[in-house]
Formats: sequence, structure tokens, C-alpha cells
Amino acid sequence: MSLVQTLQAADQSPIRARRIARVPAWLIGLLLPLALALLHETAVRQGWISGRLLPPPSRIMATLWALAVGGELWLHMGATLLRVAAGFAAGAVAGLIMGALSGVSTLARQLADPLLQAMRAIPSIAWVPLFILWFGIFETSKVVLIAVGVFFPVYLGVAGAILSVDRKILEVGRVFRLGRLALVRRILLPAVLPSTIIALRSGLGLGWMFVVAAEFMGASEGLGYLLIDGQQLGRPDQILAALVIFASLGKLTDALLVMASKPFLHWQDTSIASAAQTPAEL
Amino acid sequence: MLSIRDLSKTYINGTQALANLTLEIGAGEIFAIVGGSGCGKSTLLRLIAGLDLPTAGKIVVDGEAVIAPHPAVGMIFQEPRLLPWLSVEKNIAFGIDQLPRDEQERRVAQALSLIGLEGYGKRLPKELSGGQAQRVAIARALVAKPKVLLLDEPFSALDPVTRHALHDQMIDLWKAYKPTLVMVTHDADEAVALADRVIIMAPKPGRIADEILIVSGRPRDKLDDSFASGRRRVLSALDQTMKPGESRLNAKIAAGAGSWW
Repeated sequence: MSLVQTLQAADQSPIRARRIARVPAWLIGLLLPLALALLHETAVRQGWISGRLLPPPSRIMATLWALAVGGELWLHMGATLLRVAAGFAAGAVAGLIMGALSGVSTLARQLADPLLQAMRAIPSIAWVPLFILWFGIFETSKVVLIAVGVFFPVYLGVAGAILSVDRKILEVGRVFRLGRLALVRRILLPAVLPSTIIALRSGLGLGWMFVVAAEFMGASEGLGYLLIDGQQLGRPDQILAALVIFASLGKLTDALLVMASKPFLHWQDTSIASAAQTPAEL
Repeated sequence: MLSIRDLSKTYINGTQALANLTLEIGAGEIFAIVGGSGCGKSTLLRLIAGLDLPTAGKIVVDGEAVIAPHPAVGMIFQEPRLLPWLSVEKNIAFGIDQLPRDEQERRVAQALSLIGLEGYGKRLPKELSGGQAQRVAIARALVAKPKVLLLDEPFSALDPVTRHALHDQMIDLWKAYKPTLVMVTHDADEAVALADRVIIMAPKPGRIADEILIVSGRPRDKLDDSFASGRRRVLSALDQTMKPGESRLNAKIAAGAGSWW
């Protein structure tokens, strides 16, 4: 008896996450860019390189500051953010609905999937001329282009997630006689949530990619406009300032998405417990 | 309690997994099904669970024909199959969702203490060992108070020591609820340690080859002579089922080889 008790006691020690006192991950992540910036700055100041085509961080910062104080920065950022938000919302909702249909219903999949896959093969930029003809050169065509970019990764991710739900876990639901709706709510939804969030993250990444394409096709405001404007005026500092904003906004929106989804994913048994530390999808 | 009449199952690809199988299992009986791989023992269990439909024949539980998962039938799988996003207590309560909350809590607390995992209710499945997870799976099936509990090689993925401890625990749990246990296993020791009655199944097509009554009481001592003799009977019956199949296979190979030349 005592043997069995000892064995049970040994059996009951759970695997605990290792907790090592250490430098926060975001600080380590900042080291490399800061070091590179410092090196570049020194190189220009010392006259090793001219910095004409690749302006040093101080000049990029000064340009950013000037744009911010003049109010232009907020105008451009707001315009771009709004386009991404509208395009992402439309593309993500459409992708979620079509992905869910295609994952759940064989008929829907057989009907729609070949067509969608063929459409996915069209480089999304190739839609631009058509969208301009259809929707004009203003906001609608831009938002639609972003939505198309967001749609496909979300559609693929959700449909794939539903199709790869473990049959064994669905059988547990069947043994306990869950109805169709209960099966979806209690097993299917929680099971596909992690892949869905990854799909949304790749969708968001593509949304940021396509907003630039959309703004290249003619815009009087937006970060893409800043890029074109910088090129035409021969101001690499303005181009780089816009790139810095893109990097920051992209990372920030992705982090927000991860943070919002984190409470629902704490149960995942992955090697990296914190989703915020996973590398970006794109 | 559980009666199976002329049960046959032929899969779409033509494999005859079960042929004309008839069985009568009494209430509160512990019944073991032993056989080599491909003898249809898992198919039989899935049919009783209502997860698959038979090609012919009938399964009756408590006077009702099984045509879909039946409320009086519970199942424990080879793997724990816990839902990773639910805590241990919510996993255990998964199948008794329709009961009032306080009744759910009472049953979960009782089950947790029966499987020796008090204080583990709030943990997530990822924080459990294999043996603990399988115990939670057993608790999940038991709290629904099934009259028939099906076990599909439930201990085969565990190490021998954990398996042995779980055998004892399984008997204790059975004493608490007295369900009919129908257990599939490929382990003769396990069958003799737990069951009142053991059937040995033979493949191609899946059928009952032999039936062995284990008369010794409980708890059973694995060092006992009667245990050893029961084990010997099961093993020799199992051997018998392998031989004809083997010789037939050899014949087939020989024939195949013949046509090859």
C-alpha cells in the first residue's frame, strides 16, 4: 500500500513552467536596432559615410518631429490606419464566414474552394486597374484592395483549422451526445481559435502590405503618399520616417491582436507559452 | 443489460471486421475482450458506443436498441482525450452540463477524491501527467453515471507501474458505481486482473474464439496460483487464435510466390 502511495505522490508532481529571473524580452529585442542606429549615427558624424542617401537616425527623428509638430504626421497616419482598419474588418469578416462555411460544409467547400483558390493565384495588385475602373480612385477602391489582401489568408487559415480539428476530440462530443450547435460552441470554436488568430495576424500583415500598394495608386494623404512624396522630392529622410511609422504601427497592431486574444489561449501547450514572443508570420 | 445479437460489420472497403457475433453481458459484470490486432475488438466497442453503425444485427442496452450514442453508455478511450482549454473540473463535468450547478459540483468533487486528485480541479490538462490525465478521463465518464462503461485499451499507453495502480483504482471506482464494464485489451494480465469473464476474439472475420470465466474473488493477487492459471488459459486461447490465421497467411504467401514464378 505504501508503495502505491509513494508512486501516486510521484505521479502527482506536475510539470511547472520554468521561471528564471531574466531581462525582459522586449529589452533584448531593442538591443540590435539601437546598436545599429548608434553605429550609423557615429559613422555619419565621423564623416566615414556621407549619409546623403541613408540619413542618420538623428535626421530621421528630426523629420519625424517636424512632421508631428506640423500636424501632417497625424493626418497621414490617421488616413492609413483608417484604410487598414476598414479593409481588415471587411476582409476578415468575409474570410471568417467563407472559411467557416468551407470548413464545415463539404458541399460549400466543393462549390467555392476551387474558385477562391484560383482567385488567390491572382496577384492582388493585379486587381488595381479593375478596382479603379469600378470604384474610382478614392477610398472605396483602396479599402477593397486591402480587404482582398486580408481575405485569403483568413479564409485559408479558418477553413484549414476546421478541417484539421482532431476527430478524436469530436468523438468525445458525440459520446456525450452533444447537438450540432453544442458541438460547434463547446468543441469546434475553442479548438480552431488559435489557428484563427494566427490567420487574422497574417491577414493584418497583408493588410499593411496592401495599404501601401493602394496608396501608391494615387492618394493625397497617407503614409504611402509620404513615401511617394519623399521619392519625388528626393528626401530619403521622409521615406525612412514613413518606414519607421509603418514598422511601429504594424508591430503595435499585431501586438494588440495578440494581447486581445491571449486570455483565450492560456491553455495552449506550446513551447513558447507567450504568444507575444512568437515571430511575426510574414 | 447489454445484449448483442448476430452483429456484423463490413467496412466499405470490404473488410469484414465482425461476423455474426452474439453476446449477453449482465448488469454490473466486468467483461474483457482480448484479441490480437485486427480481430475487430475496437470495432465491437465503437458499435456498442453508437459511434459506428453495424451492417447487420442488433445491440440492445437496457431494453433499448443502440442506433446512436446512448445516454446509458459511457466510453473511455485509449488516450485521455481531455479538452485542453478546460480545467480538470470542467473536463470532468463536460458530460453533465444539463444538471443543476450544485449537483455538478458535488459529483465532480466526489469524482476528484475517488481518483485521488483533490485540489487538481483548477489545473489545465497540460499540467497533468499521462496517468493523471487518464484518471480525469475516467472520472469524466463516471460522473455521467453510465450503466455500461466501455473501455478501449484505457491503460495501454501508460507505464506498467501507473497501469497497475490504475487497475486497483478502477476496481474501487467500479465498487462505488457498479456499472457494467466492457473492456478491450491486448494484455492478458489486465484481463485476468480485472474481469469476471474474458472472451478471446479471432480475426478474419472478427468473431468470438473462446470464452473464459475467471472465478477468483477480489482483490486479486497476481502472485496467486489461480491468477496464474487464468492467465495461462487466456494466453493459450489467444495462441490458438493466432495459429490458423498465421498458417492461412503463410499459405497465401506461398500461393502468391507460386504465381510469381
